[in-house]
Amino acid sequence: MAFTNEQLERYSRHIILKEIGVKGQKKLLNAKFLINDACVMEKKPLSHAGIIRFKGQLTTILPGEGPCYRCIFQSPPPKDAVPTCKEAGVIGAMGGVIGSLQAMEAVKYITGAGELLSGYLLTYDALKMEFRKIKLPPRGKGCAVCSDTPTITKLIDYEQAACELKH
Amino acid sequence: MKIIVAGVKKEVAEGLTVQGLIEQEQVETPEYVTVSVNEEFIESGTFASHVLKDGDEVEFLYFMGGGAYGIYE
Ligand SMILES: [Zn+2]
Repeated sequence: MAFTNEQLERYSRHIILKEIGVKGQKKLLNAKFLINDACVMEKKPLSHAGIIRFKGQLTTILPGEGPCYRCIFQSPPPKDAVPTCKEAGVIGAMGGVIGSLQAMEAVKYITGAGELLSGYLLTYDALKMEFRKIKLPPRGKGCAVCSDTPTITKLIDYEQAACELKH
Repeated sequence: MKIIVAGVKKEVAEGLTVQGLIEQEQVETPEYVTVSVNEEFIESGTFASHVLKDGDEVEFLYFMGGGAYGIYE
């Protein structure tokens, strides 16, 4: 599917940190799902990463090949249900470690070298100094967006949902 | 029986369910953890009824946000 200019403008605003930050952190949590859905619909690769305290994780999502973000985490947890970096904190170096690994995945995607993390979740526990490459289940089975019979066929306007809550 | 939890072999009681293992392992935010057994996702609604078997390989996948929460707040 192709997005109209108006849609692109609206949705791309979600992924600009400044914009997300001003409106509060809830949207960033949801933005992961929004970005995932957009990538699945447009068949674009996505590098997902998350960090908290001394732990981090990353995977590379290749729509149609490996599991997508929604295959793993079906829908956004309610606000304040899971600890965020703001409450729980994160070690600054964690961003460097995991961010560099994401950059490495991007280099490999662009050059075609090696094997991407599609189908795997790489986890990093800094306290144990342990990396684990966890094999993920195959994509699609029951996934709301990347199964053969998806129930999500257009992007969910989380911004609108957030605004409606306020009224 | 022996199962493998996050890559580590463990001796657990026969009849242990996914829910039981979550409690035993003191999994953080258990309502939002994703569980795979032998490389298959387990539906969260069936955690309490899914009985583990000898040799099962269990992984807990934790929901993690980004690194930018609250920066601009
Ligand atoms: Zn999926």
